[in-house]
Amino acid sequence: MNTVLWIIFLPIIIFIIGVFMLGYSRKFIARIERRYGPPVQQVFYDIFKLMNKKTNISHGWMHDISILMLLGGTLLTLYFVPVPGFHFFAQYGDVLVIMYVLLVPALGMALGVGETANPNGSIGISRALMMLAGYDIPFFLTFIGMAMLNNTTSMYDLINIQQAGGFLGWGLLTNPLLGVAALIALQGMLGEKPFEVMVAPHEIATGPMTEMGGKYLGIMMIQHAIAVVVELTIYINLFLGGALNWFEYIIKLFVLFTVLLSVNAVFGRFRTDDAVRFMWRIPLPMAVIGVLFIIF
Amino acid sequence: MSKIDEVRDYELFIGPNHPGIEGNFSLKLKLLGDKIVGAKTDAGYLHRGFEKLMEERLFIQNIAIVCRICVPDPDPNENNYSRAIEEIAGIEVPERAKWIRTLVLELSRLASHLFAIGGHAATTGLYAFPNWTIADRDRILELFEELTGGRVYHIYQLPGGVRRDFPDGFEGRVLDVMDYIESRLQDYDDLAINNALFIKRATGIGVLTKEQAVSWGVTGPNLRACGVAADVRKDDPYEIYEKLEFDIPTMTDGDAYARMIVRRKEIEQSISIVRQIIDKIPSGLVWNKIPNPLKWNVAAGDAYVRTESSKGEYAYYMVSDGGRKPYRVHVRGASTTHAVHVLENLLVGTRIEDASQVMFSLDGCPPAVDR
Repeated sequence: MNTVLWIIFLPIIIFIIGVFMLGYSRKFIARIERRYGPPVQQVFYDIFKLMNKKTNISHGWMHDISILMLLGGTLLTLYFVPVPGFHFFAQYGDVLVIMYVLLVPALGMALGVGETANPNGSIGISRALMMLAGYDIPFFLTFIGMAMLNNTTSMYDLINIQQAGGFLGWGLLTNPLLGVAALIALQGMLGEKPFEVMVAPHEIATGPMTEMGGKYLGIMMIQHAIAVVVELTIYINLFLGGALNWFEYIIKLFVLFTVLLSVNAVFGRFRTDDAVRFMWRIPLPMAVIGVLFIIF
Repeated sequence: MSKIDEVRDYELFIGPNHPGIEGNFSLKLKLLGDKIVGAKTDAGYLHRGFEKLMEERLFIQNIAIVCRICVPDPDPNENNYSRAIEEIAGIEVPERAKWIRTLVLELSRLASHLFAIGGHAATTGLYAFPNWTIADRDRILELFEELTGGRVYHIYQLPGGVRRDFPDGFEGRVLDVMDYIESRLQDYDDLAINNALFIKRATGIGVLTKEQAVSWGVTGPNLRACGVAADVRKDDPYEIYEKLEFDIPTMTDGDAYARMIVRRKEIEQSISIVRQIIDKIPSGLVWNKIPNPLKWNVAAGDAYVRTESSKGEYAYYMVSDGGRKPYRVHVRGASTTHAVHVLENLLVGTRIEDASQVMFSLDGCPPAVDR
């Protein structure tokens, strides 16, 4: 019964945390930019407004299904990632499964946006897939490295091993090369600057979102709110010792997000090829060396 | 063109409704993959027929029109228009009014440069920088509001001088704002000018050679970024510029980064000029009375005047047939050259990532194109 309740309420809880994290990010960035910024609940207002809009234009059934695939893929990933108090699905899917299902939302977006035939959207998607090739390989290697280091591919076991070692048992401290490589890759995964090539308003008018409106945009915003928490949680579970309770979990989420936002606020964006090149030149060799260090 | 290139060949519109476009303007790009192989500007979204409109209105009424030709830097237009009438009608301007006009021109240049460098950095995704510079520009707009009553359009310079003298304590407040902006320059450098990523994005982009710049009629900071130290304030001094000490910053690379650096250095020069004016400004009248403007028949004749605006050289050719309205006013703005002809040439060969940056680095002004 408890598991059923978790399955029902976990996406809602994570969505609420995600909405407030996005609201916090807008406020945080605004303060660095010397603006007042919108209220932290503004993202919720935006989603509420968009979801209540009537949809008059459809780009076909493939577009509609793909947007649901985008959200569904993210929710699927969420269930496999252990959070404090709930790790039921973690026993059925290890880090390799998480790596696999993490690709589903990107493919869903690619299919959906491709159906709109908007060139800005198509360019955005091609950039997103290029970036995927950039950050996914180092991120995957850090997964492999942590699994080899701890002799398990279960994320739940990885958390327990780190917790047993205390603060010094955190993955970031036991293998800093992998930790930092994954952190850089995480910045790319979240699409934060300097890797914000997929959205790039001045270049491609917000890319995949250009042709989206109403409920479609609303679903994308819901997905983004959940995806931010999921991706940060993966990093926390792998390198920051996971979390024993929700208080610790939320604190770690916000601290980690603040670190990434601080970089985001003071940098522009790479060109697409430079972004991928950077991923292959810095975090990828770091991850490779980190893995070699574990092997030998 | 190969079969694969035929598939990769497509058109992309940047504007008129796009975050990366500069004002009411549009670019029609022809792309091969990410590379721009053809570019056509599409102006006219802000066309109000100013030049023709001026022929239908009294000389004095046009003061309220000319400032609208360039929104971020309106004062060179007022200055040119007033000086052209003064030259045709033989009107003397009081010495103090000339100093005040120069002060207004430099404050306008400062405000415009802050707008331009912020906008340029934003095209690379560095959004904190425009927020900073636009907030700092607001302090200059507050000075304008106090002096002229208007923040953006000032309608302040008239034939014969300026509309009103400084309010009490205005000089001190100008110096305070200059001190503040000067104190912010280090922050600007840290955030944008010396930002490794911005340097990487802006270096080697939209390169304009010295020969191209001269033959295409490029002026202002865009020309000086190619290594040509041309500036109307030095070459053909007007108002009181010959009494002031200032340098003409130049760069030699001719790329987007060089244009950014020139504007950044010109901010320092403008601050210095404003301080000199506040220090040396003489007392006296600010306006020599002109005939009743509603019944004023300006003597027949013509005049060509020019100023150095933040965008480049602004010139007015005015013809009077002895009536109450100008027979013809032709505006030679810098933006038609920079934002249309030069931009179309520079965009070819660059990539879609840099289209917006090339445009903002040239700092064109769409209303000036549409005048």
